[in-house]
Amino acid sequence: MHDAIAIVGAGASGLACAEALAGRAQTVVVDRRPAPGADVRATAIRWDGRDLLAMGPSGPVEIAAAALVIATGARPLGRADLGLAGTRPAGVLPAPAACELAAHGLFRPSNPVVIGGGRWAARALAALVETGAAVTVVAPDGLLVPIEAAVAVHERLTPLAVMGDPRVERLECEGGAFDCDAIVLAHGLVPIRNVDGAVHGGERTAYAQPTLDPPSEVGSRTAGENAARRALAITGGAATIGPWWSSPNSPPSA
Amino acid sequence: MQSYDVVIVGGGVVGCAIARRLSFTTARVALVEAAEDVGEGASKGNTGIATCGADCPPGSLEAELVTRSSPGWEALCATLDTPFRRIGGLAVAQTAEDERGLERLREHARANGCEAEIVTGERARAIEPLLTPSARAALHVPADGIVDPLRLTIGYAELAARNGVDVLLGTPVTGFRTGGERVTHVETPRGAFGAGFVVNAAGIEADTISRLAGGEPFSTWPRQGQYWLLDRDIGARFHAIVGGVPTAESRGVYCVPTTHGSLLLGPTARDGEDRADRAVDTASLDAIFAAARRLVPALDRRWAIKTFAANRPASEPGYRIGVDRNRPNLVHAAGIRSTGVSSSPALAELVHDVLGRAGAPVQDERPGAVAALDPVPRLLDHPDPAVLFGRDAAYGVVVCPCEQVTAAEVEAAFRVHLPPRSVDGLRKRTHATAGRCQGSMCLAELARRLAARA
Repeated sequence: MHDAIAIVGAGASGLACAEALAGRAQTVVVDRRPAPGADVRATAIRWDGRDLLAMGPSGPVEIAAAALVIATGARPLGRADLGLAGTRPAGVLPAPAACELAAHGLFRPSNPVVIGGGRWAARALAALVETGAAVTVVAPDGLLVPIEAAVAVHERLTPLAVMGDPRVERLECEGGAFDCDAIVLAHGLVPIRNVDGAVHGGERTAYAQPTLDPPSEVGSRTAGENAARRALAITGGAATIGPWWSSPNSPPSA
Repeated sequence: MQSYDVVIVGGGVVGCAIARRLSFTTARVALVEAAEDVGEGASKGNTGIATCGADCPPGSLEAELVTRSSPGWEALCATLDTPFRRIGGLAVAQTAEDERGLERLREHARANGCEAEIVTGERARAIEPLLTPSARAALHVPADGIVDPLRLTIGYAELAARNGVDVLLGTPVTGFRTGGERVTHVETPRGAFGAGFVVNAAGIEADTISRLAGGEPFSTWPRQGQYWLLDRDIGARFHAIVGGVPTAESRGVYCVPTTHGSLLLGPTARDGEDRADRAVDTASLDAIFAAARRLVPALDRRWAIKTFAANRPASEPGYRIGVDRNRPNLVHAAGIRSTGVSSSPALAELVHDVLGRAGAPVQDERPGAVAALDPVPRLLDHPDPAVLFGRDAAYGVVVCPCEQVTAAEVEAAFRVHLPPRSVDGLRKRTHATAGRCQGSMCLAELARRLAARA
């Protein structure tokens, strides 16, 4: 019963992990959205090193597992991650939410600033331009993907503070400020960690969360396979592994 | 024109607590609040400590109200669907001077009738294992608690509204009409309301309200506090509120576990001019983190999920509670600078009594008044998710994975007298978007649910 490896996330990394484990360990793939390749549709919420608790449309699911793989993807940095000082006005949105809301007509700024130069910045830009917005892009690390249709692109500019209350009015950067009526946070990528007990280094937990920007198929596959190797090592099944991994005697690298 | 026996100005924790108390009487009561929700000022930017009063100035009205409120928190919060935990507090001494300060603190505590014991550093670390090894001694105050100040304020207001109080949001007071010595009407952009009595619970704007009403002159000013919010991953490991030894200038920085399991670090205390300034600055935030790490070395910025600032209503003297010198039907509940949450239960009782003595019709009990709100169980702290799911299948839909907020909880937040009007209002009621991804995953879904209600 305890031989299963629970994988949270049925994206590219999670499925690569499940594939790498096929024939070597029993796997249970959990995803909160309906996804091809997911065995259980539920949101994983708690892990105690033995049991994973998930909550889904069919009720709570408890999965006894010998190891847990977190493959829940990555998101752009939030305000605290970016170290942005200033006020906390309305109109400052994480890129994933901004894209979804713009698509539903619930977010229609006229002169927003998008912070970022990678995949999420490009998505946010496209979604906002679609609504007719005049978008300024501030890319702290430069452009990682082609950015088109922005009114202005400022590369290598560090955002410092958000100003305005109750609504956002300005983004202050090192060496300049931009008047704006919205700010979209689309810079960088950090792993999404939502399972209590596996947030910052969980017991018997491996992570498959590449933060390459833009993401690549190879990156996801490698992350999934590496997590599969660590999960097998955690379960003591390292000896059954094929030739593409390291010595079966090497200690698990959590 | 609408007329009320009592118009309360200000929907912070103080005004809402008074509204709840008066809602148990037959008085016709309105609460007017300038913002689009209750609890938008100091009440949403504080540590969430419900102190037992150990460190209040002995003999002060503040000490009296805080100590009188303390024993009732469990019972009160049970009626307001508000989380509360009496986890105790440690004031930690790391120098010889600090240790002398502990003696003084213990005397304060005893003078206030609060249980407080000076413990060794070793014993303090047994109470809170995360505490620095350089703790020499600590004052342990077991009756200190933590409360959700947003749910408390909203709970007060919701119960008041249930019992017939008109809670008028987005309604700033622009002036008063008077007749002789008395205030007769409260003017707002939504029209004027007749008022038998006016309660000034306007927090930082209490001086403005008194001036507009022709009441006694005093001044209130913003004392800004900045805070860090850290992840449940570290907050849930805390067993007690941890602070240093307060000095004459400041109570210093605390590490406060929240009722949601996260951790607050702060506040700073800086008197300013600009009442609207709620900006954080890097230097202050760095100083808070450094001070907190001196108490708990394990703290690390990788757990940081949010920084914010709020202004407490400072005034000298504080706790200006009573009938105005010029206006016999204006009652102040002002200058409650940092213990508004902790004193609110007894403070509301006092204001009720003051109103009664001044002639307001607040003696008779309202027949059939509701004493408690129906609790909405939360997935995050429920021991058995299967029970929740059996009760409502919407508990199976986790909308905010970081804070484990389900569709059942979000929808319940709408089925009340004072529903949220914004995503931020939903956050205050359910904690959705308040977690480590700060709405990256759930904000769009919440905005859609909100739009569907509009």
